[in-house]
Amino acid sequence: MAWTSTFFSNAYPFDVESVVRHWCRLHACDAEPLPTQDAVLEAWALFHCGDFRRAFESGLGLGSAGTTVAIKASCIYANYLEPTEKERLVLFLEAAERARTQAAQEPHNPAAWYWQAYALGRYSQGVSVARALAEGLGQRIRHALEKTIELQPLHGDAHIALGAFHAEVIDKVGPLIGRMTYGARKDVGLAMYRKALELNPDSAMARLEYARGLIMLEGNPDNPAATRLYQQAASIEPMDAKEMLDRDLALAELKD
Amino acid sequence: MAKKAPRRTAERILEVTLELFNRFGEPNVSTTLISAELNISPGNLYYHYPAKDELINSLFDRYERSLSELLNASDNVRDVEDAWFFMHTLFELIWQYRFLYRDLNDLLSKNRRLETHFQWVLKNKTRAVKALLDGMSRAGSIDIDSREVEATATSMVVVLTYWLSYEYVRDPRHALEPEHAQVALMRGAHHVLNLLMPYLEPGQRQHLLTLVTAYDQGNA
Repeated sequence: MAWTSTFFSNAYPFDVESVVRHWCRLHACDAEPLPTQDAVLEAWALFHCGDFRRAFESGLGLGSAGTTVAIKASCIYANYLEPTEKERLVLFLEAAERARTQAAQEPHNPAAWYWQAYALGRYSQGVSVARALAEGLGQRIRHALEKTIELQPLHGDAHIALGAFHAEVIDKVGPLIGRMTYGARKDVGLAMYRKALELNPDSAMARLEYARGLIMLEGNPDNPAATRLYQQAASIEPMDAKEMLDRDLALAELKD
Repeated sequence: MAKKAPRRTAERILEVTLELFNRFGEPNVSTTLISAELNISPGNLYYHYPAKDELINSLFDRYERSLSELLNASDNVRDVEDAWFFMHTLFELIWQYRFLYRDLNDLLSKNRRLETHFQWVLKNKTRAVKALLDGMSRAGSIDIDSREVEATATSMVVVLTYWLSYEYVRDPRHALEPEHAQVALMRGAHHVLNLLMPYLEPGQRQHLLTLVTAYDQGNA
């Protein structure tokens, strides 16, 4: 296992009780149902503290009830903290495989579909979106995201990811082939980002991805709308370690 | 109300990456090193460039754009003085992106964009050198049989393209360091233009020798 860099933020000392109390706000992003087992809640507390490695290990040890927290912890660690490109891709592939197995066992669990799409999407960005599309990953990602939204229409993060799917495809293969071959459309992509913000107005990540999507779709790195989104993202008070990572990313954008 | 455009992180990442690639060679620079050098988190780097290949592609796109603009100026070359200036400017651009030439074969084998676009780069360079020969010919600076143009242009492009590799093999530890730029570029320009010697009109030939001597004395 990789995890060459460990991270723990004392700023967010969650325990089972505080995780339960703030569950709705913490999971406004994915509408994940509140777990019933204390052990699973403990794994989520580790996740929200930012101890992603222990959250991952605890989740894995809990069987199917802990799969989602384990996958989410490994994906967030890989996306924000893993310094080695190769290890990062390995983590995404492992997460995608775990989520695929989970979806086969629990086909009505939106998280299983979402994390499959997230891990494959980040993996595709990491190896080359054009190559991933040529290998058929695009359809798999899109299907998994649409399935997530069908099962849980309030899943804000799935809307962000679907927006990013449209934007990435158009950016990498152009609007014509993007539309004809992969059904990617600029207006649909932008509508997905807006819907994500409606569902989860406190999301810094939605704004970061929306800004990135706007820059990809409109081709202007100095897009004033993107600037506003970064400013808004930087001003949102993070609720947990993962949100802090998003806020820090927005602050870095505004630093220069 | 939006304040000044803040999209500097992506630009800063590209600048630092170019510097690191040029200094250490692309295969020796990891994304870990890039984010550490910039003092940003891995997540911040991936947000802008999710893969190292995207950094290579973005830098190559910039090189290709600048090269294209510069090569178009070959139409205006009339004599040795113009050709000297043109080749020197071309070498300066190549020097700015020397990582591409330092590990060219390695990059071509793993990056599809470079694999296809570098062929265009070679064609475009050849077209520009032919335009240069044509311009000098029409101005009476060279006298070259039209059957020799293709081979001469190709030879000039080969020297132009592989000159830095030659410099690198001669002195791998120092050749591509910034303090050696001036000498390496002058030598490159000289050797490319030396291929014109058999065709230069006597006055032009003398002028090229004078330019080369002046450069040799300047670097003695």
